[in-house]
Amino acid sequence: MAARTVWQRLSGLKPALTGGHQTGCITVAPSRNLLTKKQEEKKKQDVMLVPYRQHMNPDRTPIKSATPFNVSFKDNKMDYAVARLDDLINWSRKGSLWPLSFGLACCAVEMMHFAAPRYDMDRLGVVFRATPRQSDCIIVAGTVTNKMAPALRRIYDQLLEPKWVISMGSCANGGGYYHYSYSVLRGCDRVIPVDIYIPGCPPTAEALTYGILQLQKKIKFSTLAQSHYRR
Amino acid sequence: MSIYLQKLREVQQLVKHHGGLKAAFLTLYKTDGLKMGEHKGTDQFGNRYYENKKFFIGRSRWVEFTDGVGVDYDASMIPPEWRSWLQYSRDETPVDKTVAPKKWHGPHIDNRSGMADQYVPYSTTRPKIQAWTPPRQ
Repeated sequence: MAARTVWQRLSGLKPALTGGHQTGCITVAPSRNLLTKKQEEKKKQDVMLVPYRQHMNPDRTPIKSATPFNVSFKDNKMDYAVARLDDLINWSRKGSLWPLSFGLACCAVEMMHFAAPRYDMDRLGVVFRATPRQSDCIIVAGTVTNKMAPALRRIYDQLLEPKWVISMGSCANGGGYYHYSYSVLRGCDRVIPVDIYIPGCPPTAEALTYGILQLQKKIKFSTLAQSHYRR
Repeated sequence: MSIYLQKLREVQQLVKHHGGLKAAFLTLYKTDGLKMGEHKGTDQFGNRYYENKKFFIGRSRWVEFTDGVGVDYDASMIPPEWRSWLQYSRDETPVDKTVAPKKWHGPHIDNRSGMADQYVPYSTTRPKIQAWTPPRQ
């Protein structure tokens, strides 16, 4: 390894080392990790350094603050403290959203894709739990039949507060393809309150990711401590 | 040993590329990673687009959202012509090959859900049911 680096650094001195006349074998057959001149140029083309951030962002826009609650510290110190407490609560809640997987139909397959490494849900802090006692939200993925509706409602009631509901796919949103079927619930919002509707039949795993991000955005705006303090 | 020196040099380059330690930390905070690439262009909102073919497809093109949105960035803030480049639908960036605007193209707006000016669906048809107004006592 060290020898290779030294060889790379000394490439300018190669003619001197080899005594002025380059023997073909040394220059033509270097270690396989050495780049040829052509490759080197191509690499330079691929990675062009923009040295300073100012060049990239000329107008130097001020960075927007992360909190949605713009409370001035000077105006009211208690309001400020409560707003920061809300920020902390919301941050901790949206950072680890554990959904109860309620896979009912083909949407569940996309939900599995969301869990798999490509759309890696763990990086959003989303971990599937199998029991409503340990979950924060429920992803209703698929057609809710009339027979399943009481079970869905019971599971929703078993979720601990705070709880959120993501309705995934046309069927859960409003019956979808089975809207006129005699045995299908026309949307899961007929039995439980829904926070995020994800359209699609089935929605892609990307759409579900976006839905989770939207739910995180919604959680970020919740004012638990502030509304409690105001009351 | 030399490989560690190389890594150190890469880190130094990365920090320099992002404009100092503080700016590099901010980028790390916003994007969960520090990547170095060629600046391919900036869209009308100030989002910056990068490419580095050293990374494999799917990671070789990325966007750095404008500082004006902070951490409230959203995928819908990317205009369609840049989105198609980001998703490898197009080889050339809109800078290299301009997209001819159609007359039915509207201005690009991001997803305003949850904001004051959010879209609220409304019905344009007459309701099929007639609501019953309870008699007042």
